[in-house]
Amino acid sequence: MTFRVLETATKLQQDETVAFFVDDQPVTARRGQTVAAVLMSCGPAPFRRSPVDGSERAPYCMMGTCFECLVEIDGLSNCQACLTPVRPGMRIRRQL
Amino acid sequence: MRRDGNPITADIAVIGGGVTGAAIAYGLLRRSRQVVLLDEGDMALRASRGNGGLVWVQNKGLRCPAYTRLSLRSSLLWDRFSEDLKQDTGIDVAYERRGGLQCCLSTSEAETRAGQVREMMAACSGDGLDIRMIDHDEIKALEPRIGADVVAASYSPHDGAADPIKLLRALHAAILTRGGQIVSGPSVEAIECNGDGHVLRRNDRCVEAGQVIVAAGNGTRALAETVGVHLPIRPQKGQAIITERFEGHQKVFVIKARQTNYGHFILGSSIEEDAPDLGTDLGYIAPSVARSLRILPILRHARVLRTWAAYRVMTPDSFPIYGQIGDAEGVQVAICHSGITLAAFHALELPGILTGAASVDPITPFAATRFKEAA
Amino acid sequence: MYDQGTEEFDLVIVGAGPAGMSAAIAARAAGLSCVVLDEQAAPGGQIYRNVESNWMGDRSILGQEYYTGESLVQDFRACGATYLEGATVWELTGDLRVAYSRNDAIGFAKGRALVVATGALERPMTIPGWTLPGVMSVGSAQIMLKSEAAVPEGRFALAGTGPLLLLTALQLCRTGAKPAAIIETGSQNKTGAFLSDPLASAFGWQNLTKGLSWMRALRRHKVPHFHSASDIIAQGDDRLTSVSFRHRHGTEQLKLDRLFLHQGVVPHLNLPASIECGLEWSDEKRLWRPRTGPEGQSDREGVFIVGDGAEVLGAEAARISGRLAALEIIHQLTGQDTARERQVCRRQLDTERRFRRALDRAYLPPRDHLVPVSDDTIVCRCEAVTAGDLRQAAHQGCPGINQVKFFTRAGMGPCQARSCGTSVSLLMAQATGRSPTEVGYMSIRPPVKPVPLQQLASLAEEASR
Repeated sequence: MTFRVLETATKLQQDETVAFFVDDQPVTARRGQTVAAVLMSCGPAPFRRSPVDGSERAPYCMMGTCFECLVEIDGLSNCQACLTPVRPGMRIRRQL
Repeated sequence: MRRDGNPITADIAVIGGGVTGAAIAYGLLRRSRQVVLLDEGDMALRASRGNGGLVWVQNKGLRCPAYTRLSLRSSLLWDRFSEDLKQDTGIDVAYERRGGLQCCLSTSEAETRAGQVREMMAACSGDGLDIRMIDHDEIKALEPRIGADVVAASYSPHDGAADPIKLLRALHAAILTRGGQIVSGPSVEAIECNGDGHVLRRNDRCVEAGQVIVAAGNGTRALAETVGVHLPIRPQKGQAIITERFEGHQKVFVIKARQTNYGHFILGSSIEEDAPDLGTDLGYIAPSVARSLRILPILRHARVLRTWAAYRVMTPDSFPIYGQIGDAEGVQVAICHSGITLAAFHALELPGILTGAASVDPITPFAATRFKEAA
Repeated sequence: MYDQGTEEFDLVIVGAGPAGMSAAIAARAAGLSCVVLDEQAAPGGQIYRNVESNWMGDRSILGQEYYTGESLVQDFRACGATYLEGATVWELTGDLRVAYSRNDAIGFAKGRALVVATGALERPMTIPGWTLPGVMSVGSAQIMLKSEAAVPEGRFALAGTGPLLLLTALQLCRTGAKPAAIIETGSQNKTGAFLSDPLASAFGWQNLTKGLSWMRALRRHKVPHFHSASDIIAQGDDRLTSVSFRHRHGTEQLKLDRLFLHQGVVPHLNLPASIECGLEWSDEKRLWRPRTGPEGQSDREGVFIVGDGAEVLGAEAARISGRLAALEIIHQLTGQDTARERQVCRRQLDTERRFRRALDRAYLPPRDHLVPVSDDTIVCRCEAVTAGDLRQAAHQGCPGINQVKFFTRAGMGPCQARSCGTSVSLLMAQATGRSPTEVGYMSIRPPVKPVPLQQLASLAEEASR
C-alpha cells in the first residue's frame, strides 16, 4: 500500500513534469517532489536493507533525520532520498 | 578511599586505564601480582579510542632498528595475546594479520620508499623482518580495487589490525576476571615516595603502592614532574575519518584506506602540532582524502560518517619511553604512540621486564635518559 | 584552512523555519548582512513546509494556522538575506565558520554571530516492530500532506500522544482518508491535566478548547479512538501487517497497512552538541535541550540557539525567539539600543511558556513509554542495537554513556543518535538507577551530516592549484 495524491490537488502542468528512472524503470513525477515521496507513491515498500542485520527498511521521518530512506542516485550510494528533489534523467536505485 | 576510610593499597599501581596501562595491568595479573589500575573513566582523553586499530610493522623504526624489532616482536605475539583475551573474557578483538600495503603514487615516491625498505631490511637482517616492494600488477592481485595511479607499494606480511574498542573492553574485563581492581574517578595528581612505598594523591583520597607504573599517555608528563623528572612528551593532534559501510572485504590492509571488519573505511590521519583543541576541521584532512581516493577510487562514492581526533603521545624521536624515571626506585613509565601494535608486548613481556623478572635489554634503548632533559 | 573560499557575513543562520526566518528579517531590518543556510528546498521549516507552492487546492484541509506561514515566508524572501536552499551544514568551527555541502560542492560561510535554528524532531517511540516498513512518524504523514498533497492508502492508524497526533488525524479525515483507529497512550481526561494547574490553564485555555474541538470533530468523523493504550506492538515479518495493544477497555489487534507514531517532539541538537554547547535534561518536559540564556545565547561565545531547537514551544514562540536573538546580536554588533524590544520579546516568550506548560502536561508521554520493556526491541535503528544489548552493557560495568556507545555501537550509525540519543540516555538511567542528567547524552562529533569524500578531495585539489 502506497500514498496517493488527492484528486483535489492542483493539476500537474506539462512544464512541471520530470522524467527519470527508478531501478531502470521510467517514471514521471512533479517538479519539486522528493525522491522519497515518489518512491513511497510507486512502491514496493522497502528502500534498502540494513547493512547490520539485513532487515528491510523504508522511510520513517521523511525530513532527513532517520537515514532510513537511503538510495543510490546517479551512482552515489546512501543518498537521503527525502532531501533530494527529483531531476530530469536521474537514475535512482533501491539498495536492496 | 574505601568506605572504611582507609586508603587503597596495592602491590603495584598502574596509572592510566587506556590500552597501554590496561595491557600492562593485565600482564602483571598474569604473573600473579596484585594490581590496582587507576583510570579517569568515561571522559578521559583516550588516545586508545582515537586510532585506526593497526598492528603495523613496516613503517616502524626507520633509523632505529631496536624499535623495528620491538614492533615485529609484538606483532608476532599478537595471535597468542588475542587468543588469551578471548579465553579470559569471551571477547574477540578481531585481530587479523592480513598483511599491509603502503602505496606510492609516483616513481619518485616509490624510489624513496624502496630506499627505506632496503635500509630497514639490512638493519634487521637476522630478525626475520619481511618488507618488500611490489609493482602495480602484484598489488592488483592482492587488492583488485587498487587505483591506476598506484605505481608500487611496500608490502609486509607482518602487518595486521584489530578492533581497538573491543581491545580496551577486553582488557578491562580480563583485569577484573583475574582479580585486579579498576578504580575510576579523580585523576592522580601527584606521586610521593615515602620510604618503602609510594603514595598517589587524588583529591583527598590516596592509594598506597609498593611499585608504580605510569602509563597515563599525555598525562604522564605532569605526573613525572611531581617526582622531579622532566619528560619531553607532547600531545600531537591527529584527525581521522570513517566512512559508512561498504560491501566487500580487503584481502590486505591498505594504509590510508583500510576497511574495517564492519565494512567502514578509515582515512587520514592528519598531523597537527600545537592544536588548541580536539575540534574537527575537515579541511586538514582534505589533502589526505584526495590521496586516499587515488589509492582506492571506489571511495569516490563514500561519505564521511564520523571523524575523530585524538592526541598522539609523542616524544622528540617518536619512540616509546619505558622504565625507571628519576632516582626513585619503583616509579616507572610506559608511554608510546603505537599502543595497539605494542599491546601484545605490553601484556606478555613488558610486565616481566618492569618487575625485574626478565632482562631489561629490549627496553634500554627507550630509557628516559636518552633525552637530555630527563637525564 | 581554505579561508579564501569563505564568504563573510555579519550573521549566519542555520535553518529557515519560523525562528530562522524571523531572525533574518529582524537582522536585515537593522542593516546586518545575513546568510540563511537551509537543508530543505524552500523556506518554512517543517511547520510551514511547502507553504509557498502548496498544491493542496482546498485550504480547509490543512487549516488556517498553516497558511499564516505564507506572509512570513514572503517577508523573509523580501528582506534581502542571502538564502541558500539545499545547503546541508555539517561542521561549525570555533571561529564561527560553517562548512556546508550544496550542489555537490563544499562551501564555507563565516559570521560575526551565528544562529542555530534547526528545529525539532520526533521523540523516539520505541515500540517492538517500529523499524518495519510501513511504520512511520506522524510527522511524515504531515510532510506527505503538505509537500505532496498525498495521503496513505489502505488501512492506517495513528498511535501515541500529543496534539499533532489529533491534528493530523483530523486533517486526514478532511481529505476523505479516514484512519482505522487513533491509539492514544494518554488518558481521555485532558481537562484533568489542565485543571490541575489552574494558573497555567488560565493561559492555556485556548489550547484546551482547540484540543477539545479536534476531539469532537474526530468523533463526528466516527474514528475509533482508544485511550490509555500500552503494550503497542507493530507486527509483521518483512513489513507491517497489524498492530496489537492494550487499552482502557481491553486488548485489540488491528490489521493495518501503515502505522504512524508520535509522542511529541524534542530539540534537534546535533549541531550545537557537535561544538560542545552544553546540554541539559528537562525532567518536566522529558527531553534533552541545549543550555541557553534568556536571549538564546549558548555556552559558546557568538552562538545563539533559537526556536524548537532550543525549547519546544511551537511556531509562535519560535518566531519570537528568532527575533529576540537577532535583536541581541544587533546590539552586540552595532551598539544599537534594542533593550526595550528585547524586553517585549522576553515577556511574550514567558507567556508562550505558560501556554505550553498545561499542554505539555496533558500530552506528556508516560515515563514507561520512553524506554522499551522488551529486551528484543531495537533502540538504535542504524546499528540494530536492542534494549537488551544496552542493558547488558550497563550491567557489565560500563559507567559512562560514551563507553556504552563504543561497546554496543548504539549512536554510531549515520543518523548520529538522532533516533536513539534520548532513548539510550533514559535506558541507561533506568538500568543504573541514576538520573538522565547524571548519565548524560552521547557526545556528538562533526560532521553532523555525512560528507561525500569526493567533495573533500575536490576542495584539496582546487586549493593546491
